[in-house]
Amino acid sequence: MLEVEFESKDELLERCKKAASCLQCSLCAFECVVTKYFYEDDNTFVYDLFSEEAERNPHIWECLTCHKCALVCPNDFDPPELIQSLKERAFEKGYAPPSIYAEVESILTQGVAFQISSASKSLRAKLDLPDLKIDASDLRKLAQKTGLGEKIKELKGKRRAR
Amino acid sequence: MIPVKLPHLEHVARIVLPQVGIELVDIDGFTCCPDPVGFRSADEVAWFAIAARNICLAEEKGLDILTLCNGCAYTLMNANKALKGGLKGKVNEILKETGHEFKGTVEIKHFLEVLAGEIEEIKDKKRVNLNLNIATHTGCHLLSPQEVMEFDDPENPTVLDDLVAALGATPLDYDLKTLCCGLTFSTTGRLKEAFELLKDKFTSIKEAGADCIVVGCPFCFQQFDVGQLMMSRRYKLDKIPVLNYLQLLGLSLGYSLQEMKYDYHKVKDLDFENKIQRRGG
Repeated sequence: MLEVEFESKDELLERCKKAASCLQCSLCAFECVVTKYFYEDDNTFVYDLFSEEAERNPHIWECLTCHKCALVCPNDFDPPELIQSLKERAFEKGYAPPSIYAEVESILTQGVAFQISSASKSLRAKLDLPDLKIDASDLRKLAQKTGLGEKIKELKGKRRAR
Repeated sequence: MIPVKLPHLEHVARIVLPQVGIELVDIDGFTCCPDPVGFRSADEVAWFAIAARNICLAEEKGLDILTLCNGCAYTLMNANKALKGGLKGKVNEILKETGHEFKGTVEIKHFLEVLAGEIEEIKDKKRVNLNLNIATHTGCHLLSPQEVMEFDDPENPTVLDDLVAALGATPLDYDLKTLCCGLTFSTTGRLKEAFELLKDKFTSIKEAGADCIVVGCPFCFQQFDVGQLMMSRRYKLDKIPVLNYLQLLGLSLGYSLQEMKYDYHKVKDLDFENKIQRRGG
């Protein structure tokens, strides 16, 4: 059971109940590519994830959910679940990298993650590939219904206010 | 990724897959899967809902889904499993807004999984043996979580090796075979660490004596091709060309490097090109 105390611990465990089974044994860290390239000590990333405002830790965005950590976890926990909940919290608070907001915006306006540039249009034409005609209006409806639309609107308001 | 940034791989897929008996049908209205690392972090339920909408479009046509990307396979297969496992009611309530309903009758497969099931057909259709030593890199999102992806052993992947061997080439063992491509290091702007990872990976591949690297994921492709070019400005290593498996399959079917759009790659190597020109019968 999680021993460390910090203010947002309850909120963290509410979002990711299974994280309570983590004993911080750091076996996962030996498999973690983020730990390998960004941390001197093997267990620091794990400790960092169970600390106040862990959602501000930029290294959560280097986790690409390879799940190698989950393969070795003695408590059958999938650490990317914890990191996913931290990322969601970071997104809501405006701490995610700008590229993440840009990608979400692109998906909801164009239907694809990367901007369809004139270069990619002409490349497709040169390769005899069909034009990309994507209607993203359904995606905006889904974003509205799930509350993502509102989340983005609030964030934009906050950014304008700053 | 492929349609916008690497359309040459779409071109190759449209040529090569029908040659081994896989008929491709375009579905109007498909959107980004969406991406499992970025978009998912914005809102997991919206991630599931958009994925489910894509699955519905195939379901309404009575078709299964073949993906050319590990990320798409990961998103769509995770959504398919989660919806079948109890999330269907909640997501269908959201999907109502768009007039779609998820029923759960569609199979989703990565192209490597489809080809692994056609390995005898591939051996049969092959026109030339490829006398190459190849380092394969399957890619994290196709391997894990294994209970969702059901593709290969994440700690010791061999399916792509078998597919390479079916073309007469020799798949190599190398130390860092399951080390990831490090794409997120580049997308978050941590280039120093991204290049360090690539240096480690390519040193291990070179030591094993590889002529080229073969991948099944466009993000790994981009990281190994463009990333290798950028990394080579900092670390002096011999260049190793990167091929998508479909390009390798095309080469064994008798297509030229030019027809397999090798000209679009950033990393090229003369020794590799010569070996392809001399490929035997």
